Amino acid sequence: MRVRRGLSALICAALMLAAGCDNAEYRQQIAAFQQSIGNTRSAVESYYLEMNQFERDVYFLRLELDQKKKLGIKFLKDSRQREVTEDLVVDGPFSSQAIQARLDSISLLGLYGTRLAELAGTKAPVAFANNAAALGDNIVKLSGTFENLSGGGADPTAARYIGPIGRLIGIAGRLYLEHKRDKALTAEITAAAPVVAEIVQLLNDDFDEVIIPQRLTGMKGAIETLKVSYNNRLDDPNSSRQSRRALLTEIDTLVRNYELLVNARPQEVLQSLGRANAALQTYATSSHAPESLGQLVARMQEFSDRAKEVAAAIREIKDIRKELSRNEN
Amino acid sequence: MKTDNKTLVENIDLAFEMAGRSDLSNEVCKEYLDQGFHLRARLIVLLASIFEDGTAQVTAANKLIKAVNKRLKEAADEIQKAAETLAALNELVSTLDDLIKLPFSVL
Repeated sequence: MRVRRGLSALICAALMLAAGCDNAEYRQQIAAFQQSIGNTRSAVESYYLEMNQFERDVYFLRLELDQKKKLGIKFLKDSRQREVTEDLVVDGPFSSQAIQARLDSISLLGLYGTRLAELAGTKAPVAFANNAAALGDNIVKLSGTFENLSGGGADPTAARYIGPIGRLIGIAGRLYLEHKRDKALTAEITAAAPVVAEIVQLLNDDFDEVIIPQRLTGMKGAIETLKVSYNNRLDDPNSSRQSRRALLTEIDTLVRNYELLVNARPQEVLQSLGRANAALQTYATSSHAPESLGQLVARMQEFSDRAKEVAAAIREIKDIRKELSRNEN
Repeated sequence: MKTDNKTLVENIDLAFEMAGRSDLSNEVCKEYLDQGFHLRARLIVLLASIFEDGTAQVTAANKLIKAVNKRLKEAADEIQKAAETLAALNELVSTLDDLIKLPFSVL
């Protein structure tokens, strides 16, 4: 009898320990999720931030190398107006409001990751309350920005963001009141995961439909501009070997940049974020069985690796650009 | 509805690829480069544009985008064929040179 009681106590203790380990691992995965969202955020953000600067870079390169091309500057007075121009565009060609709204959506995803980590952390309720302001006015304004953008027709894709952004804000606000950590964690993940998935899909569509075509065609055009210029110099008896070498070095760095962009495929980190988010949702609503924890760990690892890879590629692209501008000076 | 941006991007790519060829004159390459950039300026506007469903001009533009795509591919193939023909001519010259090195009797 005593042996049986002792055995039961041992089994109980082992089960509690296993559950404790599972919870610790689960929380660790949430911390990893937050960290990878942070990496994704900085990678994705840089593409949005550079959209207009990239257009200016391509424009200036053509201007430098094509002696027949004259400088033209257009001030985009009304961000809702869409106009075809091959001149230099001030505050465009992509509306700064539309770019900012996307950046705020990415911030919202980052805040979601932070909140999850806070909930999973040991000082959850305190950190939760202290950071309430972070999810306050600025983020609530976001859905209003998207409504304005889509209303005027300047950015029709903005309309698709309104629904999920509004819902995510609602979920975040509602859960301030929750105090039981695991319950709140499961509730937050269950409610927010589909919305996060929707926002991630919209950002992914932006990359597929706008950002990547803009970058790849621009970079290819820049490389061919340099190539045409190089071949013209070959016909010029006054061109020096040094000047040709400088052009070839420039072509080489741009080609490397192009290869990095093609291979980094930043939209894949968003797809990976989508899969990690789905795995988190599956685990949160499951009975926390070891095999589903295994799947969660695998997805989180994949997301973490992809986020690191893309962040590294973007750092390299930035270094190349710095190097290029240093050489020009 | 949207313009067929995927094919439009492909057209710009093909125009730039023509500009990058070493077997075309500099002038022709420059023309392709300029046309590629003209198209790209339109693409930048069209990337995030959605038109009302059933807009006839969009249907017509998409048809033209596809037709130009076909023309660009054909042009690239023809240049490729011309280059291959030149290579074949070159090979023929070498073969005939080798042949001439063999002992032969004059008629």
